[in-house]
Amino acid sequence: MIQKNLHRKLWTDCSIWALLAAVTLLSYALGDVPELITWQWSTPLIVALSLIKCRLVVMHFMEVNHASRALRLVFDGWLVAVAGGILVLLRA
Amino acid sequence: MNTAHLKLCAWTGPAFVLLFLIGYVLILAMPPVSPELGADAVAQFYFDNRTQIRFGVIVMMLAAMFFAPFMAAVVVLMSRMGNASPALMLTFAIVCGGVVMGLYILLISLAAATYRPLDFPEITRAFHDFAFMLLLWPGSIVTILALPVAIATLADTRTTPVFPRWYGFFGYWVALLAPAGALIVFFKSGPFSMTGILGFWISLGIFFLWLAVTAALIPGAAQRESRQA
Amino acid sequence: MDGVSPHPDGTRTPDGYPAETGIWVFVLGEMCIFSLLFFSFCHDFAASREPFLQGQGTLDRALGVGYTLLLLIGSLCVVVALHVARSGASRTVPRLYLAAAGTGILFAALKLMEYSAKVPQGFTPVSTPFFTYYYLLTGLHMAHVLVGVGVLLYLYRRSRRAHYGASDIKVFENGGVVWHMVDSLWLIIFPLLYLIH
Repeated sequence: MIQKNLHRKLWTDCSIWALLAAVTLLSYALGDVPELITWQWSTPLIVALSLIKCRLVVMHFMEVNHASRALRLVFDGWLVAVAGGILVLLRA
Repeated sequence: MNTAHLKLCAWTGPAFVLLFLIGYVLILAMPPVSPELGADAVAQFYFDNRTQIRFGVIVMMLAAMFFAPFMAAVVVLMSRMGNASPALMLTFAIVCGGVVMGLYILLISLAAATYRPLDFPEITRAFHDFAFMLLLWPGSIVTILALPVAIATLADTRTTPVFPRWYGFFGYWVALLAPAGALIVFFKSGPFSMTGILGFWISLGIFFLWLAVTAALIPGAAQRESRQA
Repeated sequence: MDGVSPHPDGTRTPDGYPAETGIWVFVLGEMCIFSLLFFSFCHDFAASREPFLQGQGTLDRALGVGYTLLLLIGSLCVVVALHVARSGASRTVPRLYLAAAGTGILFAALKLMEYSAKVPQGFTPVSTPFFTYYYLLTGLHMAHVLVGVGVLLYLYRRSRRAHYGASDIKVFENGGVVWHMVDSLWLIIFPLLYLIH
């Protein structure tokens, strides 16, 4: 039972890692081939993708998704504030 | 053991933080005058605001007398911790002595800047630079101030430690980021200069936050200790 | 949902957090300071777009991706180590921590090589505002990586015990959180310095 539980957990860890790696390569492609989409869109997309990656690490690897609601809200608030701040300031 | 005096010392913590803050607001240095300005502009600033700045420096000078008893309370509380470590207490006490000296030199330098600001503007500006270098640049002393208490706090594994465990982690955070002000020597303007977000707000903010949090914790800790004694 | 979903492994603190409360003070403090630096960078980037883009153009993006993947591998090792450790002591756990520490050391070594290639080309911390930010953000981050490597080496030593008690698991959780924070900060630094337009 414990073994099965562990295997399921490790499977989740590895899939999240694969997702993170894939998103990293995707944002690299977005940054490297600006012609792929216009730069007005690639920057918000890159920022959004990196914050999503950040959230995956925070929620799954740091296990904040198992913490109290208060801590989850603090982290989510931080991620939204950082994403918003970065995009607003870059546009200015 | 006389715990009445410990409690007295503990309350000098909040007194120091409050008075020092009031004095700091009075000297109009949030952030300080930009080092980018010419010596004349800096001297003119000190001339125009000389009365207020002199009062501010006096308030800070009076606040500074509370620093030693404030830190002494921390040392005594460290000696009451579980797994108390004389080596850490001594490190902390030595550093505190250094901070007291630095604090007075800083204040004297500011007082000197307001003394006859317009006679030799370059000298006024040099005193200004020196005072804020002393305040913002030597971050490693803040590191070595916060670190011994943080280590000792986390080593205190009793069910009711002297300081809460989060204070230990908080101290590590302060210790890690405090030296960021070191960069101000390279810049006259921008975020890394002594008027910028990193050079001023973060480096001074972290130091002050550490003082404020420590001051907020010690009266309660001293109270608990005196009940146990 | 009452917000306190039961932890799958039953290793929660009484106050409801995986890892202990204090470590979140540390992590949130770090994240706040770094976000101020990110904002400051974006503000200056927007104010002088051309020189910043020029500076960005001299960076090797593939290397940036390499750093990111390296740190992600480290994070995977750390999280797998924790999950294995929760189901009992095992020799896999110290190996994973050692591997994670290895990724950190490799990261720092690559970074130093990148610096030493940049400096002779005239890109120093005081050459342009972009490079000031570049050295500051990556340097500050590298200091955190080195602290993180120290933490991981401690976890390595601690995880070689024959049995893990609740306090051992707590230490693994705390150390893991610190390392993941180092990783997640890089996940934002990387696009800001290397990718955005």
